[in-house]
This record gives sequence, C-alpha cells and structure tokens, in this order.
Amino acid sequence: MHFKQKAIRITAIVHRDLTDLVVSALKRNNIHYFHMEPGRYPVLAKRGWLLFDFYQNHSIIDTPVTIFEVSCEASAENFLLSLFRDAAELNIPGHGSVYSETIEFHSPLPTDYIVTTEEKTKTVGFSGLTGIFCILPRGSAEPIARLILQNGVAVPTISYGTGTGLRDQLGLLRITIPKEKEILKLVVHSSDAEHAMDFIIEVGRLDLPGRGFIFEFPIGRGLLNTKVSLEGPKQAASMDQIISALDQLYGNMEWRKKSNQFRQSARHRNYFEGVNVVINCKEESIESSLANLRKVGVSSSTISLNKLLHSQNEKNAFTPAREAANILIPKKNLSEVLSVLEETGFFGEETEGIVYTIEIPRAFSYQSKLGKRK
Amino acid sequence: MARNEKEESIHIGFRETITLILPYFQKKIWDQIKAVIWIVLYLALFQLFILRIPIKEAGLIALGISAVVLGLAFFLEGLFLGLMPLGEALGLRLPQKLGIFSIILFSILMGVGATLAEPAIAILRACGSKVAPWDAPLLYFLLNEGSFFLYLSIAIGVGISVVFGMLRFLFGFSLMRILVPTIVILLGVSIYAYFDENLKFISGLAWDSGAVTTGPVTVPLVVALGIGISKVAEKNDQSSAYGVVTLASLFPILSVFLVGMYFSGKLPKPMSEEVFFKQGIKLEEAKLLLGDSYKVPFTKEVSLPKKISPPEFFKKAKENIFDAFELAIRAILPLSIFLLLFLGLILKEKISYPEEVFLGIGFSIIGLSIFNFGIIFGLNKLGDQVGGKLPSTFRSIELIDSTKFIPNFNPKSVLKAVNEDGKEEKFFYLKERKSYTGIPYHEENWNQKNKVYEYVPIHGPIFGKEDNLLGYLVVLVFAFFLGYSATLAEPALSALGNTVEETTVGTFRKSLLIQSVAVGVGLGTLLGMLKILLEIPLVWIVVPIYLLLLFLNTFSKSEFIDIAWDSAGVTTGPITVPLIIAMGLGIGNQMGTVDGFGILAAASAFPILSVLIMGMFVENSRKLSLRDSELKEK
Repeated sequence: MHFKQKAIRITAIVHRDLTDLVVSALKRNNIHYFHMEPGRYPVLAKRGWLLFDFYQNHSIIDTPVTIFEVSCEASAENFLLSLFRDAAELNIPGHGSVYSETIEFHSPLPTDYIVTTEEKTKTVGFSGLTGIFCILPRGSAEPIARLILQNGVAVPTISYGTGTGLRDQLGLLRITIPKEKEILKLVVHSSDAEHAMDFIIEVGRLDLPGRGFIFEFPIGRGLLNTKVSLEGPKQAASMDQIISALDQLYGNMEWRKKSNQFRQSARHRNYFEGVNVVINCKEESIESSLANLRKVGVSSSTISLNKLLHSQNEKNAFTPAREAANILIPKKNLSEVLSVLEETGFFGEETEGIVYTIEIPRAFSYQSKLGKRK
Repeated sequence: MARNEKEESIHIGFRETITLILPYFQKKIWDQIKAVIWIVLYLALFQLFILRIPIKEAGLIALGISAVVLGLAFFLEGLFLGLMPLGEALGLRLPQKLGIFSIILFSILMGVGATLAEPAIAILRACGSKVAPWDAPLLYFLLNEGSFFLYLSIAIGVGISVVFGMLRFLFGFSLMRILVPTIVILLGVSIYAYFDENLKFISGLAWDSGAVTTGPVTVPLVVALGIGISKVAEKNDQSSAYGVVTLASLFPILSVFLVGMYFSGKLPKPMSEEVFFKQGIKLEEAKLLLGDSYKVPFTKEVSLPKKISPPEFFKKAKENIFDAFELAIRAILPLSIFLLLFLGLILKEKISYPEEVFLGIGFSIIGLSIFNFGIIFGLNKLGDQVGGKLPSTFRSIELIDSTKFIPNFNPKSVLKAVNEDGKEEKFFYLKERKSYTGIPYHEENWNQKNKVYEYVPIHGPIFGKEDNLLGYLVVLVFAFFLGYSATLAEPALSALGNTVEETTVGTFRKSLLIQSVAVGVGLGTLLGMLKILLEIPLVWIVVPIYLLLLFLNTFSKSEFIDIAWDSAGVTTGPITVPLIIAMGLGIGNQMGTVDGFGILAAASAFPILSVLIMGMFVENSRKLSLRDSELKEK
C-alpha cells in the first residue's frame, strides 16, 4: 500500500442525554464526519434503592453512552478535545471522557477529514495515560467492571461486538459457540496499566482458550470521567468532584496511581506486540472482507456496529450503517493484509472501506502450548 | 488474534462435535425450563392445593409440557439464526435499493402475509363458540360465517401498520404522532360502539383481536426489519427501531370496528331467543348469519362427555401432531420463502451465512411444531382443568370430567332426608375407599336399562358459602399470577427482550423488561377478570387506561415509549392467550356473560403502563448520574 499518513483519533464517551448537544456542537464547527456507537458505562448504584436491588440483583446501574470517534490532523487535536469538553461539560463527573490516540491511515483520507484549524488553545487534558481494550464473552464484562469501579481504578466503557475466529472454521457447528462479545475499554494511568491488565486477565480468566483477548494502547491526552458511584454526596463535595478537582490541581493524574493496590500476579505472562488494524466499511460487507483476510491467516477479529454520520453530503456517498472490525496482527504482516484488502476491492465504491492502524505495545490472549504465536 | 502460519480448516471428530453440541443444547433448554417452570408449577400447585382436585391425565400433560420446553428452545434459536437476520438484512437493503412505493408494497404484503399465517386468531373463535346468534348477531356472524372478513380485516390492519412503521423509520418522526391520533380515533369509535346495540358486542372482539394478531413469528420479524431500516435511515435517531408492533395491534382494532360497522346494517339487532325463532329475522339476514345451514332448524347443542377408547385416542393424537406440524409450516414457510425470494430476486443480494439461515428456518419449523403439540397436550389441558374449576372457589360446580358410573346400582339403597326448609330429599351412601359419603340422588341420572347410576361429583364452594367474597378474591389473585407467570414464558417477549438488550447495549436488561411486562399483564388479567365478574363494559376500562397512558407518555423518553408500547403487542401470545381465555370462559360460563372477550385487551394495555413507569424509574437513576453533581455546581 502506498498511502500512509499519521493522524489523531479522538474518542469521546458521553452520557446519552448529552449526545444531541455534542452532535450539534460538532455540526456547528463544520465537523460532518464522525462515528457514533452506543455503549454503556456502569456506575455503582445507590444503596438502599429497594426497587433496583429487587430487579437487578447487583449493585450496578448502567448508564447509556454514545461513543464518538473523529479522526483529525495532529494540529486539530487540541481544538477537538476542547470542543468535546465544552460541548458535554466533561469536567463535571458523570458526563463522560475524551481522549486522543495516534493512528496511521492506510486508506485514502475520508472526504470530510479535519485537516487543520486556526484556533490556538491551551493544551487540554492530561498526559501519561494508557488505554486498555478488552474483548470478553457476552456477560463477563459486568463482574470485571464492578471490581474496577469498587477499586476506583477507572470508569470502564462497555460496548457490544461480535467475534469471528475459530468459530468460522467450524462450519455449521459454529452456532454452538456464541459469537456475541463485550468490549470493555478503560483508561488508566500508565504506571497502573500493567497491573490493571494483569488484574483483568486474572478476573476474566483470559488465560483460558476462547475467553477473549486484551491489549493496551497508548493515549495522547485525555480527560476522564471520575464518577464511579451514584451514592449522593455525604460531604459538601462528592468524592468524584474531589478527585476531578485534584486532577485539575495537579494538572495530571500521577497522584491517582493504584499500582500498589493490585495483587501482584506471580505468573509470568507472555505478552506480545503488534498493530491493531481497524477496518471500517458498509454494514454486511465486512464478513466477505474478513473471509478474504482469513486466507492470509488473519483468523480472529472483533466486529462492532457503528453509525457513520456525514450530514454534509445529502447524496448518500456513504451509508450511515457501518461495521468496524479490530484485528490484531504482528507488524510484519501488515503489508500483506493491506494488499489483500486492496486486491479484493475493499477501498472501492462497493464497500467504502477505511483502514487505519494503532501500534499496540502489549497484548495478551490465550496462547497454545506449542509456542505457536496465535 | 495475530495469525497462525498455516491456517487449515479444522477437522472435528464425532466426540468433539458432541462436546460442542451438548452444552449448547443444555443451555438453551435450561433457559426455557426457567421460563416455563413458573406457569406450570403455579397451575399444578393451585389445582392440587387450593382447588384440591387431582390433575387428570398428568402423564400426558407432563409430556406436553416437556414438548413446550423443547419446542420453545428450538423455535427461539431458529428465530435468532434464521428469520431475524433475514429480516434485518432486508431492512438494511430495502431503502438502499428501492423507492418508497416498493417499500410500501413490500410492507403491506409482509404484514398481511405474516398475519394470515399467524395461527393465534383461531383462538378467538374458541372464545366466541358460546355466542348465541340472537344475543349478538354481529359477533356471531364475525366469528362464524363472516370469519373470513374478520381475518382479512385484521391482516389488512397489520399490513397498514407495517407501512406506517416503515415510513416512521425512514423519515424519523416520533411514534407519538401516529399513536395519539390513532388512539383518539379508537377511543371515539369504542365509545360510539358502546351506544350501538350491535356494535357494543364486538368491541371486546375488536380490542382482543388487536392483541392476538402480533404473534411469535410476526413480532421478531417486524422488529428485525425495523432495526435494519433504522440503521440506514439517516434521519432516524438511535435505538428507535420499535413501534411497529404496537401499531400492528392498534390498527386491526380499527379495521375490525370498520368491518363491524359495514355489516352492522345488514344484520338484525339483538333480540330474545323466542323472537329469533319466530321468524324475527328476514331471509337474507338469515342467509348472511347462518350461511347454508339456515334452512336447518337451529337447535341447542348439548355436548355429552364421552369416554375415548385407546385406538380412538391414538388416532386423535396423530391428528393433533399432524395439525401442529401443519400450523408451524403454514406460519413460517411461506413467509420465509417470500423474504428469501424478495431478497434474492428483487434486491439481488446474497445472504451471509445462507446455511445458517436455512438451519434457522428448519429449527423454527421443528420448534413451532413441537411447541404447538405441547400447547395442545400440556398447557391447554392443564389450563382448561384449572380454568373450568376455578369458579368452585365461590360456587359449587359439577366436575363433569370426573363423572363416576356406579354399575348394578340398587334403587333400594336410596334414602330420604330432610333439609333446612323441611323438604324431603333423596340421597344414598357411596363407599369410596374406606369412607362413606352421602350423595344426592337424582332420578334422571339413573339408567334403568343397564342399571348404571351416573354420578357427577360436585365441588365447592371452597371458601365459605355460595358467592362469597373470599372466593372472588381468590379468583382475582389467581388471575394476576396466571397473567404474570404465563408472560414469563411467552416466546415473542423473550425475542423482543433480546433485541432490546442488544440495541440498547445492555442498558435495558431483558430480565427487567420481562418482569415489568409480566407484572403489567398480571394486573391487566386481574382487571379483565373483574370486568367479567362485575360485567363492566370494556369502554370503562379501555378509555381511562389509554388516556392515562397518553398522559404518561408526555413525561417519558421516546426510548421507553417505543419499547413500552411494543411490549403491549408482544405480551399476548401462544401461551398467555389460551390460558387466559380458558379462565375467562370458565368464569364467564358461570356468570352467564354474553362474550368472554376483553381480558386480552386489558392484559395488553397494562404492560404499557408498567413499562412506562419502570422506564421513569430507570430514567431517574440515569439522570442522577448527571444531575446531583450539576446541582452542586450551581
């Protein structure tokens, strides 16, 4: 593939009730090209809420969120971060988070890609963060999320996806293996990342076959949601507010290090590195692209559904229903994968594909004993 | 993730296949056991411990119930594998490839086709079989000679509602804009009908047919179609793929009323039985009302309990199995062929994983056949037994099905006794097991030829004297729990619950939806029972509740409004409807009501209320995550 360009991906996770505010703010600023995906973030419930204890015998309340993703030029990073912060008032605990990552485009840039902006603003957000991306069988994210919340590590975001992999080689027998997955994302301080990952691997039993996988991804800057509980404030300020005030006071999240709270796992884990290839195309056409990739040995991936908005063109250049797949591959295989995609016309009119990659320093999944890299 | 150096197709031996398949089926079947267990336990325990009547044919019923469980497991899995992906794929493609007119045409065809295939409407006839033509000629006509018009009007009603639903997804207007006018018109028509002699009797039928139309095949299909369309429709907001189901249960009400109004003029008014037989009706009216049989004098049919001999029984069982299979094929096959052909020939699209879709369709047919069989042999039998004996809580009833025949009865053993009023009554002693019971002697039960005395045991009233208040209360409580526990097993609700959980990314749990709907159905059934006991006109129930619902709507979020109204149409399916009707008929017969309709209408209005109220609680807690800190800021 000849094309290659560095860019920034901004991910904003905002409370569903604030979605309209954010969308209109984006449109006001002539940003017409972004992805939306529904998700939820769990919050510890208020105690003594009889009705909820009765109905959902767990102490977690799920708040619906919308996950926005915008890709932009590096110079626009600050502008977009502050745009999201202001639109959804993200400095208030419970409203949501926003963070940026460095990505590399391997496909022609999308038409409404944000190139640059004149505005000069003060740098927004904290640095020194690491994101953790974790794929689990449907239903397993909840206990992990609860433990994370109870420890005050971070506020995770959960969205739904479907997995392909071993399943698809089974023929019709595949129906016996559920393909529904849950995607758990959280952002922690970098020094906590390894421990948090270890913790999730332990709790989610990711070292067993077929349980999912986990990787961490570097984050540029971020502003994080601090609301872990619905418990009303007992003091003048709630704990969430104190945390976010301290964040702002220090200008970073260094003080929130949790490393010492995690149980150190004695086990040595074989982490591997690679690149996360995100391929995004029209809904229902991703299956065939993945089938093509399977021929060069890319077996597993996670598909999530999202909606691409591009309200500028009234003519449907893109259809809004999109699918995105995260595929983790060793770096040396990237060019092969890209050429397969190109050969099969992934970037053509039929599928309107977009491909970008994120460098993954550390990933983990079940590895077979043969030492074969899975 | 990463890659294997050599990727080969995996060969799976027989053993591995078994280890994959067994836990899979185990899980699916266990899920259904959990869903069905409540209603079965409830009915069985109620009959055994409260009514204190042994369960007849318990073995057969147990077999039937296991068939229900197995059938449900297959059917639901088939829905998720076959019909729903097919519906969603169609929804995604339709707006991209076709113009608005083709979409409208498709929607009408699908709505009408799905409804005509839906077997549940036939149940309405059971409810009307007790109607006498002189009491309510219009109702009698629609349920007998004119049943074709009834079916067609319901089907067209559903077809039109699918059109409206699709237009709503494409243009993204809120459900309220269709709901409010529709309901206002419906309430108006119901009130008008209340004051019309003939129409009065069909309002129960009209409202109930709305509830019955949306069954386990239509609902998931229509919802999946909606999800597909709303994904590609740009003007649509997120997660509003719902609303068609509720329209599909409201529009048929209107169309049934319209058909009723059309025929109302051609049919005689209600009259007494004597007038009816003394040529009180004209010839053409009689032709319309009674069809070809109008020349045959209309006689009262008296059904006699018959003993079924084993070969006859097996013949009947074979017929029933065949019927169940035929019903299942009729409900699923034409519709899936239509969808597949449409997708292949008109949209020219391939399905991803075709073998999975075909397997799914096969699963649904197998599942529905087993399920139908189970319903006939298991749940319906149990429901009929309990329903028929339910009035014994407040009245004494005859247990016809446990009639005893005493051979070589000696009339000399009949004794005389004196009752409270000083009158003489005949009775005799019967030795059963080790105790002697006095049994009243009736001349007409004594067959002198074969010397057999036929004795029908009398049961109840269990709680105190005839027509005691406690007995009525027990009936009402029974109604609540019947509605509640039957709803837990309803397949369409389970499918809707899954879809809701999927589209809301787990923020709206399936269990929460099912629980609140079940409570709603329970309340509705209770009120419907009250309607029959106190003979409240349906208008008095329907008008206030729907006005209240419209009022509550203004306080709710559209997400909950759509789901709440949809759950109304979904609730009354193949499990609830026969059970509720059996109960309604049992009580209605005792009370001598003209029609037993209306319980279903009440049972499908209340879930809207309960889901809306539950939605308000959920919404409140969600707001809390935004609000309390904001208040502090200010």
